[in-house]
Amino acid sequence: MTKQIRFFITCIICIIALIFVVFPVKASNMRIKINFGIEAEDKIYTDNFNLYYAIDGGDFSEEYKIKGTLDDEKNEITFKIDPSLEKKITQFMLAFPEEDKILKLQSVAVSSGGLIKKNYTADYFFNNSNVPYTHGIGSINPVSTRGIAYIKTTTDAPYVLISEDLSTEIGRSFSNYHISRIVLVLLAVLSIVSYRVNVFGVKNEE
Amino acid sequence: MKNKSSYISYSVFLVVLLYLTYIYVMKALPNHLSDYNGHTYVYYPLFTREHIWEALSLAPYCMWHAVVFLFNKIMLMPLNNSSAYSACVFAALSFYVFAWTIKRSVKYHSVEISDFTIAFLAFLLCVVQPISLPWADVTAYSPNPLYSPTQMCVRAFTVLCFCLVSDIWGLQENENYVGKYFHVENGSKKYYIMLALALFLSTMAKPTFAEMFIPAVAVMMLIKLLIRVTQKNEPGEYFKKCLYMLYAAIPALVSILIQFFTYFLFKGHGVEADGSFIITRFLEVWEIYSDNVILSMILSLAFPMLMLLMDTRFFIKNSDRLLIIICLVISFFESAFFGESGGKFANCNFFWPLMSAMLLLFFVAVERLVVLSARDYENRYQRLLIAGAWILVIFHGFFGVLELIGA
Repeated sequence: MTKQIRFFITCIICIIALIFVVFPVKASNMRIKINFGIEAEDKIYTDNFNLYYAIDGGDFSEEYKIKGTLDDEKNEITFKIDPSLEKKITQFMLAFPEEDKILKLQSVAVSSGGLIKKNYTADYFFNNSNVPYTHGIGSINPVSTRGIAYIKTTTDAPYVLISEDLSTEIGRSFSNYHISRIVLVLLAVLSIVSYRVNVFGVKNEE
Repeated sequence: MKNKSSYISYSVFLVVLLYLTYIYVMKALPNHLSDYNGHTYVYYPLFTREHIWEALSLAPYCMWHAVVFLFNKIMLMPLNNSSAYSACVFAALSFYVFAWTIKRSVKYHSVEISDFTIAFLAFLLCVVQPISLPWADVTAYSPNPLYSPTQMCVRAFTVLCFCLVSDIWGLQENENYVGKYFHVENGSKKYYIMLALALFLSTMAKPTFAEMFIPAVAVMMLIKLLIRVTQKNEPGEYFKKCLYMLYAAIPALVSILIQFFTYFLFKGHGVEADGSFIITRFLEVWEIYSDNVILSMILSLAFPMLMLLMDTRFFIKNSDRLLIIICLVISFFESAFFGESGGKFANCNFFWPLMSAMLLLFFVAVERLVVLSARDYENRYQRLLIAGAWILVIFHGFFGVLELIGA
């Protein structure tokens, strides 16, 4: 094979790899996970948590509601957000179960495409600047030294409104698998290089 | 003296493995959602004279249950202990097979390593789990799914079948071939019979391995046959060898067919009689548990992938190593396209072959690492790569021990 043909084939492969990496694909689901810690007294027994979202500055409604699922082992509530909502969500509202209870929140993680994109400590997530309005909430006490927050809920439809800034930040976390696709291309390239270089020189072995 | 120290090495690692396995099973048994609970308290009690057909239709692969029966009904041990001891029996069998095959392999390659290292590697292979990273939010499948009694039961047969096929192929290619694992140089007939037996036993432990392995062997042999036809290199003679392999697979194939018909067509899975075999959208079942299949695979196979990248030629140029790659590809597509309908859709029952293929890849990668580590290298990058591979395999083992102790 002449040098020119080899160069041409390499160029074609590079172009295909580039297209594979940058080609727009459907985004992955986004998951918002609220963790309540692992201690027995912090255990939550209900998955009656709901996440409402507003689209393009509109209002919250029952139509735009995501029901949480409880992971009993991790003591965690997960909200799965459909990729069709990418770049549309402008604000979130988190509704708690209607009961008189003090909840200890540990962290809020936002993941998409299998990677945790943002990991907020509860004291940051639920501080005054990120929670501009509440309803049916007795009190919110962020404990910055431990990174946790205590939220006292009541039976009067408790919910917290998440600020637009934080909601937009979360809404931007949808993954389009760019890193994964780059890794896949890198693996393919590395295996071809390894085959050619034959690092351990085992051409005639066995 | 050397013998004494080697016995101690094997014994120490075996005792640790058995202890961890026993504790793991005893912890898992009270959990209603665990496989151990299901097999011990739901399926096993049906293995009585009155309900035997129902039991066989629920769990036609009954090797694990038979060992529980041995402990529970014949040795009159409590059921939970019997279940844990059965898991220990199969863990010990896997440990023995790993240790023995590694020992044979290093001897074949004239590599000098201590029995302590062999015992350590056998232990690692028995426990390796996917690497867990704090920023990864995916389910990664394991070559050692500790939660499944039946999959843990099939591991030893998985490795045995692979080693037998590897040696039989070696002899088919070269009449002067000296067996790597078995003494096939003395005649291969006995080893075809052994392969037939091992494959059949694997289907009695869990048929999922043979469902992937037999097609993979068939694909490889077909490719070899086609190459021989095009090269006019005694294709007729090779076709005969293909037939011998097919004969060896017949008992396993019959067993799989019977199990398949009982399980899916006669709706043998009584309690949840809503699941039947379906073809799914690509990766539909995967997506329930993992938003990023590439990351899941990398976490599961970090060490073998590094070995593959380090030494691609070794994995591609050899037909038995290529067989494992084909096993991996076939099992990946099985997991990507096959599923069960209804309530069992999320059960991932077509992921088991992938886990067996992962185990084989780990086994071959460890074997290769041992051989490469025994050489002297002047190049610092080679030394760095070998060190990196050791670190990765130890990480896999570390996460395995964490999983076993439930941390």
